[in-house]
Amino acid sequence: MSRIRLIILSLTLGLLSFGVAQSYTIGVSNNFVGSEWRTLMVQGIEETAAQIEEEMGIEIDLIFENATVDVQGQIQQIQNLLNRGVDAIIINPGDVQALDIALEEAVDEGVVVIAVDQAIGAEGVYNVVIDQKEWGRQNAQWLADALGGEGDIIIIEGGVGAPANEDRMEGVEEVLAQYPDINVVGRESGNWDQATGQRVASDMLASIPNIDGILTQDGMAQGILNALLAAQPEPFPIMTGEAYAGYLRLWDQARQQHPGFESVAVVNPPGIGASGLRVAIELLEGGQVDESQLTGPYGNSLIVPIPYNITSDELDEFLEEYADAPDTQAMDGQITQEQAASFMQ
Amino acid sequence: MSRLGILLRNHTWLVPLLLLAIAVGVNVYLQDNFFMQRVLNGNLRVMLPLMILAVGQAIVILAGGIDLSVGAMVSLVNTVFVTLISADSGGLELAGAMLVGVGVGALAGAVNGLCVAVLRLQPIVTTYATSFIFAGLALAILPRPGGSVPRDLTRFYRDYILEVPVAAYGIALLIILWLLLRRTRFGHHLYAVGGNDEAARASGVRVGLVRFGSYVATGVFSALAAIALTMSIGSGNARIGDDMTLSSIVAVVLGGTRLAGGRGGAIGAVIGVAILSIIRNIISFAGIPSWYQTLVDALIILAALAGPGLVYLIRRQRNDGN
Amino acid sequence: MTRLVASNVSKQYGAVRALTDGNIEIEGGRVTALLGANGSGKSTLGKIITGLVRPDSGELTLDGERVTIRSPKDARRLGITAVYQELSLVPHMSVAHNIWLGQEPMRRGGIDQKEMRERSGELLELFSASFSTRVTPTMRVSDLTPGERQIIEILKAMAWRPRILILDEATASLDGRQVERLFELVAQWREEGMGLAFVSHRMEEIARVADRAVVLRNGDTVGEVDVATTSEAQLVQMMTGGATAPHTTRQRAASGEKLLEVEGLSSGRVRDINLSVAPGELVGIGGLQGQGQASLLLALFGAEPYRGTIRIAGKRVNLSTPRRAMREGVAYVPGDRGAEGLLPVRSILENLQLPSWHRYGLLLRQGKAQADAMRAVDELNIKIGDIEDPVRTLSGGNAQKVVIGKWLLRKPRVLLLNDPTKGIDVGAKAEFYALLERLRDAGTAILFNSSDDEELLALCQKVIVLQDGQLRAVLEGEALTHENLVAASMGTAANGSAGRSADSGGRP
Repeated sequence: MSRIRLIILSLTLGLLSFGVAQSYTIGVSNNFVGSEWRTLMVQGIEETAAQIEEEMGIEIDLIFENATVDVQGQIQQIQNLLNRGVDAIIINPGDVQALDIALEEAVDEGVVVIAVDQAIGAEGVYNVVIDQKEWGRQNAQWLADALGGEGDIIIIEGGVGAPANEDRMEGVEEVLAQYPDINVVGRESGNWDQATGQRVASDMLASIPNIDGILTQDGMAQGILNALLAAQPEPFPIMTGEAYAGYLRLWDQARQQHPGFESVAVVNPPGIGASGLRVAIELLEGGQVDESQLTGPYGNSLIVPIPYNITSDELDEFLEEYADAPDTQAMDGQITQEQAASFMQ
Repeated sequence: MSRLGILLRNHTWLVPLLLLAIAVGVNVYLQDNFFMQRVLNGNLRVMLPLMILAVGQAIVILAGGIDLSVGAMVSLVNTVFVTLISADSGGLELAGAMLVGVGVGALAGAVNGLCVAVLRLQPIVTTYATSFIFAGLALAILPRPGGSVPRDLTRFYRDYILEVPVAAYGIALLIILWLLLRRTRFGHHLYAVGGNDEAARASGVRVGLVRFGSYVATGVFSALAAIALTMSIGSGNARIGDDMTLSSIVAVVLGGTRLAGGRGGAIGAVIGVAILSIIRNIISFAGIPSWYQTLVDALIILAALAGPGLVYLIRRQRNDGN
Repeated sequence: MTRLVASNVSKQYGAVRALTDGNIEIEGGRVTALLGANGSGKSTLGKIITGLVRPDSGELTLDGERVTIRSPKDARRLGITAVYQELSLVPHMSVAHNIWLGQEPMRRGGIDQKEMRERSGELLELFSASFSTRVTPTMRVSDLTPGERQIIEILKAMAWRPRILILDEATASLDGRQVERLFELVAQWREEGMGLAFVSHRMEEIARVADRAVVLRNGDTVGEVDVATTSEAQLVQMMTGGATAPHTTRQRAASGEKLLEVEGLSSGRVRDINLSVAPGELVGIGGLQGQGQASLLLALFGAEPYRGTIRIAGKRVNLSTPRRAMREGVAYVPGDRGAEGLLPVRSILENLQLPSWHRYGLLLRQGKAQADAMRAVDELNIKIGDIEDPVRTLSGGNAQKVVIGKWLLRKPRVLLLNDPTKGIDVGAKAEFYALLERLRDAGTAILFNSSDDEELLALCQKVIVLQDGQLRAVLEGEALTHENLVAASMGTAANGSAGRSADSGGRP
């Protein structure tokens, strides 16, 4: 019997015998509200909290600090959460280091702090993240394979200097280093923005001839594919994409116009927030992190696996599944409570 | 004109202070532990860097200019500062690095001043352009966020002296610094140049020099803001100041300073920052849904900008009625 | 034939009565000159006809029908257009765009550029012989000479095809050839039936081009005469009213030493000026307004570049900036208090002390600065609420005293005044004169430009008269009479024997 069952059992017994439920106040600090991904992240936390309440009989009181703020603003968010007496904080940090002091203060007060999406090095904080380098690697590997190991490609990367982008590009470069016949003929930043991506791609398509492939990241791929469909270059390049319903539809459209068009969508799950919540619950319930599973740049990261990839083979299946979803709907995934428990000793 | 009218006119920060009092009142109502020492300290140390920056912005706006590069200067000095020090730097090394940081700020301000006062370029466009230069330099110095600051320094910033938060001393010092500056000839000439540069020139004021000086002063205050910010966050990031430029301008206007220059003061700007910060708390504690927060932010900015115009309109209508 | 008649029009600005009883008749096929000294009301009357100013009372009729002219636009619709000396051109637009501004030829919803250029070309043709280089419709106005711009201004008025054209100092910046051409055209337009009104400070031009002259004095139309049969001396006499009492308040013959000496000074609008002012001497600058008086004063204050020699107390000085001039003890009181004199949003204290802060230490001794300022306020009898009040709360007269007060705190050796009493009330003026006399008696050399001839005559020992940027006359002692002043202003020989006959008024 797993620990979690034990906990549930004991809790149920507790409920039966004393008639009181265990209850936690959990704060969520999100520093950016301008993207669908973040919205889904926040929604995921809300839904999962309800699910946990049902599954485990724990009462969860969520407090959201959810606004587009700078670093000082996010420090204020953290302080406000502390002042409201939270037991745990789930934070998507806007800076790799600048929040450390504020979060360490929270840890000192006995608050469980989980950073999601972006790994940070604050003492006593655990990161719940996907392996960004692996994410980049999977994209690059797919592109290299699809091109048969040769061709001219352009790279449109995310926010230069942002850790997620740097980690992903590290993975990309590792893969490309093994393919000397793949030439990178252009590299620009689309800043994880659809409109910017579209503009940058249009400019590059106009100035660089004979592009065989485009390597990009989520947040920009729809814009870039739109640019391709508008420019109709010859040859029509293949590209890495993003796991959003809107992209899958564009992909289908491109495939019908150019039977040779191929793409991939590696999921970057907004459910990472919900995964963080599950880990936080484990810790609040007395769990101790299994240190052997900790990795990452600061040795405090718990790596959540990348849920899945979508390739041409699975496209029809997903198109059907997400037929009614809005364009901004992201493919998602989160760990189960069992998986969260497996991070514990 | 009534006595109250005269009082309000001569002390432009009184209305902002009243607004602040109301905001604090609402905040206390929503958050009963607001006056707890720890909570107060938390709020003050978040405000201090922007307050320093807003004082700098107020100086240049009073002199009839504007500086869109203050945020980038904060980023630049932040990266310079953390690059010069390490986790175990001693006091002397820290002081030296701070001095260099202030020097960099002054130099950056001098570049702005040179462009605006000597080459007579438009301040908005000039400082917008230099902001990219400073931001680019910051990225070159520290491409990836990082760097470390002695724990003692960050701890000091969060500490108390005689039960009073260090940040409170910082704010007091800032206001004293401004009051001293206000009492110098340069301080008076700032207002003259912003109020009517032709008249100032005809009165023998070296308008170009004053304008130049206002940008240098803004650079120095940006550097001081960067040092306070670094003590607050304990690390370096080449984009740390990006969002502070607009906030500093909003705070200055919210503090009763005329955007055209010549009227207002830095104390109002300090109060303006406090208002902005408290309003953020109120939004948070009132549980206002996140999608309204951006709207509320925008409304505050609009109200701050439209406020003086509205007062003028009302006054004019009343006069017309008479 | 077109006929515009203004009868018994009046206009009051605040306490100042600019026009009491203005009458003029402008008839097609005739050129009517409008004559008057400074403050006679002739420019107000001109502005009323063209809709720039609305009269308080009186009546305008056009071809016998009563009309109301609310704006220059109204005037143009009625066929009345004016050419002003202050240019109304947009420098960065082309000649064609300027000429047709506000009545651009349209075609299919857009401006018909071709039509506009062609019609501009036709208009330019009128003056083509008088341009030193070819002026084309596509040239930018900023590239033209002042004379050429003035011509564009005239053509712009002609583009409206006016029935009545008012030329207000339209010849001021034209060269001889251009003036000739304009007069030829004026004669031609007159033949075609256009009614013209002509305002000029050059008597000689009036004699040449005008048929009739309407003379104003102190806000009243005092007569209309036939130019051909009236002598210049008679006209001057009508303008001054002939009554010139000798002025007794002028005293203290200046000693031999000179405090301010100017030789061959040229700057902006003035050319080759020589003058000197002794300590304790109050020298007036007269002439019709806008003849370079401001330019002269600004050059002496270092605010306008100049050529020539300036000596102060015998020492040659280089007044390249106001700061330098101030260091030499020169102070300047501007006429336009808003633009150059004051910081309206700042306090009285700050305005008074603005040029003097350097005397109060590094960390300014506010108390002493305030005490000194208060003393100046008392001395000048400035009526204020609180010394911390913004200057804009003061009345015109009190505000002007602040402008002077800020220089008194520096105790200047040379005081330059540029029409300082314009728009301030009688009481404040009297105090102001007393102050000037006190300063003069204390040994200050004062150079005083005024658009009020009476004021010059009452206060000054000596008046220099400028016309077209040149020094026309220096009037002193017995020669300092209103007639001589007006005559010199109009460029006619100062005729000491001008008849002392009674007012030849009598309206037609």
